Amino acid sequence: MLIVQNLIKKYGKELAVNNISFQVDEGEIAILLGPNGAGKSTTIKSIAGLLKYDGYIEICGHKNKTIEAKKVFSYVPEVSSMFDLLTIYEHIEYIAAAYGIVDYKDQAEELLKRFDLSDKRNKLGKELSKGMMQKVSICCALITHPKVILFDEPLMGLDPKAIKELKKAIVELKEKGSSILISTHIIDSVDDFWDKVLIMKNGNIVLAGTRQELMSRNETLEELFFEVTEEKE
Amino acid sequence: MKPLFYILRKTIKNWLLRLKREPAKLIAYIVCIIFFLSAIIFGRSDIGGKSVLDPLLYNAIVGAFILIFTVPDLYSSINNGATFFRSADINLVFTSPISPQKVLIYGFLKQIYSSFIAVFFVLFQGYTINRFSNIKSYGMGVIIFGLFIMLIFTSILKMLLYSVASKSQRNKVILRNTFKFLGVVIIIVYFIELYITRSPLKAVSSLLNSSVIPYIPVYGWAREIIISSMNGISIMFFVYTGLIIASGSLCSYVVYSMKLDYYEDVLASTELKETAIASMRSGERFVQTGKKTRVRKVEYSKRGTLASAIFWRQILEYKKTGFALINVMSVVYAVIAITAGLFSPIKNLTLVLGVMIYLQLVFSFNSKWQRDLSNPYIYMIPDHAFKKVIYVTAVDNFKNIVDGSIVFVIIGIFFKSSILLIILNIIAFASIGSLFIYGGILTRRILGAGNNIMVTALIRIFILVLIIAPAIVLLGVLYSLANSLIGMLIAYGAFITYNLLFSALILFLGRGVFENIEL
Repeated sequence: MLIVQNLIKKYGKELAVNNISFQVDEGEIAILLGPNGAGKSTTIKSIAGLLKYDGYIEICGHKNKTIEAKKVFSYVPEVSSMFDLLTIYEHIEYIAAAYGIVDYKDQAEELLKRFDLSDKRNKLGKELSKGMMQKVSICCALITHPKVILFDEPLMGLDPKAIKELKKAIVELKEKGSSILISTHIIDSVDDFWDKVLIMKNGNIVLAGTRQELMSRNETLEELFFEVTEEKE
Repeated sequence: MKPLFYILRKTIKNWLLRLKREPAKLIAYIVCIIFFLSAIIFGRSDIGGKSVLDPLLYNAIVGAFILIFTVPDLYSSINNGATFFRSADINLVFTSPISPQKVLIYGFLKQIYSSFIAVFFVLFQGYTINRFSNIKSYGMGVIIFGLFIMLIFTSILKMLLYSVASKSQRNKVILRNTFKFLGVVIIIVYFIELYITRSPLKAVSSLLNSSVIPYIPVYGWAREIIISSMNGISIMFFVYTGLIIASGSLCSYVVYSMKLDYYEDVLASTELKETAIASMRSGERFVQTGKKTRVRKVEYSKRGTLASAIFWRQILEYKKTGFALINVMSVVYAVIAITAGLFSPIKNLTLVLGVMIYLQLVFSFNSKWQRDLSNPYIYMIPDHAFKKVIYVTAVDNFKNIVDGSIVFVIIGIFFKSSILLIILNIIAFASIGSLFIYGGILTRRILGAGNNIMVTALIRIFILVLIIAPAIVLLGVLYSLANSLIGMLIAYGAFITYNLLFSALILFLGRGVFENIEL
């Protein structure tokens, strides 16, 4: 479970995230929507422990920067970065070692096959295209069996097959009880599997609710999005 | 040209406005300016301690400087082209209805800024130059003028070379072979001088003091202009300046009147440039992409667990590009060591240690720990922050021991130094290396990753110099006082103790780096 309470993030004097609170339960897929500059990536990076912030973030009962929390969560960044001299397979081996995972080989093979990387396993990090880097980044995140997983614009640069496989993998994680938070601005890409929506604008959550709660409004996610994010004339 | 001038004007305006918004950066710039101005002013007032610079040596230094900073640049321009564009220029300027010639001029104007920056760094040598009594009072101004005019001409020549090279593959080959031919001529002349003088250093000096140099277009003239800082300004100074301006104008005219279609080539070179800039920002060493990387096939057998996985991954990376911790850098150090061992007039290992410390300061921006910190994985590894700091820096510390051993054993053999002194220098080199590493981590914690590479780098150098200065002074003072083996042991012992103590202290202060810095 992921709990975010009173999260505030400032870059100098600029307020990027303004005192937001939300929760993602076990087996729940939450989507963080918002226009560019709304504060989605900053929120995700704060949860991942990559930024300094004010407020409280808890992952499976532990503060997000503790070792216990780090053991159970994974993060797929918006811009993947690879180690130049490590092959695709060595990236997975490295992450497995860094997380103390011993039995990973079968799952690694499965992930490589799933994301069409089997025949490219010996390609070096610096030889990969953006899309391939994104696939490796996803494999590295999934190999740790995360209880909480954070995706920042995960579908960017992926080919249609990889998009399909990633969506399937996300649903499988949900079925296993993981809490999933996906930041995106492409509403169509997540419309078919979300459980909770958090719409951000100017650092604030301007709309939050579960699928059931919002269904009563008889509006599509896209209509809701524009209703709360567009400037009133 | 109006829209292109608009971009330049707005860029400068927004840069100034940004300084107003971010006073820390403004302060950094002011500190730098005060730093070099005081170097010049105090350098000049220090009359008592002035020495005389040998004119032949000065000629040779200026000549070598010009050769090193222009020839590789000009040669690479044949392949990589006009690298003064950024990707924003490609996306927004190249696609606009503006002629390629005008776009090239726009690129050239941008290049002038880079030349300013390059000359700015030379200003830091003001103190060293003003120490010599036979350098004129206006010497620094003359040097700056000479360098600036030369760099601007080089930019134009690069454009011309590239424009000619991009016309056909044949032109490219001819230009490349011309450079190779000139290189071979220089080497042949060097060996003739070597045969006559029987001394490698004298041969270099004789080569760079050749009476032919003032007749070499532009670069020979530029050298004569710079040398005026010692010989004084004569009528020839103005003649050479006029000749360089005329040559630059002629080259510009030729470029402007050529039918140019260079966009495709610039596209590739700009991508390279962007990758290089991104690498610099993240502290990585830039390796030219586009070519298939050659790495050794190595078994990733020992992987460690949790934080130690970082250490074993770095070892794997080293194994792929070299033999254990011996890589290209070690070979460079070995070559420097052999050269110093053979030709150094002063056979003193402590002096070599001083040079090595300076090199370490320069190369400290290219360490493994720095590259790891630009990647999110290290922050997320579920282990103690302190362990991560230890493991992420361990390889760099070992590398310092290996490189130190290579340098001091080789030079020690040439200098016929005692084993004890060689070992002491290796430990001293490795210990100050660790001070650089942990000082670097501390500055990273204080400054963050920094968007402005140059300002961050300058502040970092400043902090590092501040940290290591007492160690250097301690070694210098104690070593100069020591006239016995015990005295030397005390000097080195104090130096090493200071380094290790402060490394430990800084490590302790910076241990929370992974919890407190931002990616």
